[in-house]
Amino acid sequence: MPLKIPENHQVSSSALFFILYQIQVGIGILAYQRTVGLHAEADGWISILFCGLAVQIVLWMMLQLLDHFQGDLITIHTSLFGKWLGTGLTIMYIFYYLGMALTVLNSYVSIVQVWMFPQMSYWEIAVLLLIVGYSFISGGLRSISGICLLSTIYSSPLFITLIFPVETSGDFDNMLPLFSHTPEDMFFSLKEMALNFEGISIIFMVYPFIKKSKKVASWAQYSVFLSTFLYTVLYIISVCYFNTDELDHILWPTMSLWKIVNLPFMERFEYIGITIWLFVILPNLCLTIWGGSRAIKRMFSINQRKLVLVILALLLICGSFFNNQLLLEKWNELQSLFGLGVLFGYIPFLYFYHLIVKKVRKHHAKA
Amino acid sequence: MLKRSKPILYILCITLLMFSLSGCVRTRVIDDIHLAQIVGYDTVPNDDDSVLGTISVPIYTQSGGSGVLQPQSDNMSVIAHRGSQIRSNLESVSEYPLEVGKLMTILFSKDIAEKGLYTYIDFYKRNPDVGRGIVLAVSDGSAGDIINGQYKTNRLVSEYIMNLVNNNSRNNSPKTNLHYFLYSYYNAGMDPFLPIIKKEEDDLKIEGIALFKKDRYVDMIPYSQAFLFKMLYQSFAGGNFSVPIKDKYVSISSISSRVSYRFKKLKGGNQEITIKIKQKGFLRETERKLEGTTTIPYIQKAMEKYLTKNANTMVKHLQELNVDSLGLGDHIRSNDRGWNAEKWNEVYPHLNIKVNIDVELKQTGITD
Repeated sequence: MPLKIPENHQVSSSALFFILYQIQVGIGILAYQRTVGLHAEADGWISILFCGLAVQIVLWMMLQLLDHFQGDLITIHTSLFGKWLGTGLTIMYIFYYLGMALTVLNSYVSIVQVWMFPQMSYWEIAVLLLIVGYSFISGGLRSISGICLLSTIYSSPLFITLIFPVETSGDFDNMLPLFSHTPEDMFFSLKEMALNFEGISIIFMVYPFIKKSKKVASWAQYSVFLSTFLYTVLYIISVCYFNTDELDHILWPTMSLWKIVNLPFMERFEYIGITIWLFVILPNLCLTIWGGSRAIKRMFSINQRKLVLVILALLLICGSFFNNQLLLEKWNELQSLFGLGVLFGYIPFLYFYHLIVKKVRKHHAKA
Repeated sequence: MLKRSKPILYILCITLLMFSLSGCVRTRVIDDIHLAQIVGYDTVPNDDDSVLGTISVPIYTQSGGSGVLQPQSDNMSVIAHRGSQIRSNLESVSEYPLEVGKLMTILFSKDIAEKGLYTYIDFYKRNPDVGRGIVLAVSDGSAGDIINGQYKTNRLVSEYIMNLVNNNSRNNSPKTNLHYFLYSYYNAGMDPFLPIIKKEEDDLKIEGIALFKKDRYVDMIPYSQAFLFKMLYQSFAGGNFSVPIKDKYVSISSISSRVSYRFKKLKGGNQEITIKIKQKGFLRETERKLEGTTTIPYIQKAMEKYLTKNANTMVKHLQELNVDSLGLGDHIRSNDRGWNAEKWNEVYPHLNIKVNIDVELKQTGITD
């Protein structure tokens, strides 16, 4: 049964581009070079390109599923697996969404603590962030898609500053020799890269809110294309400015790249970077929490606004346990593995299972 | 669907939070902190375990009437058991809290550099307040003496050294700073280098290029050879050098210098690298007469011969010291898939290195 959303709650198809772009370019882009470079080193950009390609295929599968069922994740789950199993799988997905929110929240808090205010406690930063987050989530998807558009605009000048490191001391020889790593290494890097793309499964919740248009699919694909491009270019810049040996030792390569930007009135440009990055992680936080709460609401018909408050409180408390770099790294590893499983395991499974079910049902209908 | 919540409640919450949060982080008002601009490290005589750290902090006083006041500086020195203790010990002699956000220069005395710089640099690479563009230099003699010295220039010594090093990196010496040091320190096929600074009466002077094996000082290249080193190390534009031709000096301004590295595997497993340099310049000054047009090719030939000979000696010397300051390992790595980082230290001294210099004089100025 198709899921109908009143038109005054819907957003245009182009908003999907900004929503999906923002959820891919979030906290990960500040630090992904190190983990991706661990295995494939100078060839990491190939892994990133392949990862982007694989994500395009997964996204196409998701769009096919959504187009067929004309609903969201809950519609798909219940019509494929029935009520009980479907609910169980959706609950798993809710934990997945909220896990992403936890990753984003904790990573940003730790960045603020390390780079700007070592004396500020987790609670102060997290509470402030979540209050701002709540004000957008309570406005529904329309206001979240608004902040997605704004943060795309705010963050784009930051990428222009990345010309500075190339100009001052980028050595493109660091990319050579090309293809010098084994497919295994490339695969491990691709696995690490998947963490940055895992957010796109939010489309399972967002889709019914997008106005019907032929362009929905292409806007979604464009967003993956743009973020893959960005990740690839930034990776190449990082390898050329540092080298793969030094990259191993740098925890936030993108921020260290900003260190070279030296303006007469501003000694440390990365402070501007961190501050503007608040607007980049905000859509991530909002979308994942919104997605989680929306799924709960659809299943159990609970007031979403109150639900969000409960979720925020839970996130705040859970997050305080991960407030140290070692644990955070462990958590990110786990999240990365889970994201990989969902993105390249579960979603393709869902798609092929749906194909089989469709065929079987057609067969039964004929007979 | 979600409803808009009461705005008044929000504003109340946020205002409350703002008030409660404002006291959480230690404020750092510019008038109430000391911004260290230069740090120097020296050894302590007869005490191998201790380090003498010296810093200089600018003090800005308000000018009463017209005219610009000379900047003043407050210098402090402490002896610490280890480099890592210096920071905490310095606090004991400083009237305001010390910050490193405006640090420009770090000096290491030669004795310190011989023991290895990594333990000292660790603090600066770890600290988010320190930029990657700060100048590192080795001092011939005591670093503290250089910091405490009085010079003819109006500037503070921190700025003086930074300008001195940066100006030279635009001309005859290759560019160095914290970024380049870390870049080549971590790179398996590269060794870092830094400028050497010496105090001469009331001036400072760049004495040459300090060569490092990873973080340990090994030897230096005198300033007269720095230009040649830069030619071998990178492509660049600018700089001056002079070459003796039969006891008469000819001085050349460089327009552009292009270097390329050709890598070849010889039979029997040996490796050969050819450093090819194309130097374009114009004649700046000569002690000998230029007679007709025939002498230009002659000067070019003589220069090529002289530079090639010197370059070969320099490369041989680097190989004998087993320091890969030119980053040849990194160049081979980008050409050869079989490059082995672990074996590089053993391969490098026996590498067959050829230097091929081509000089072209574009013009001779406005007289012949």
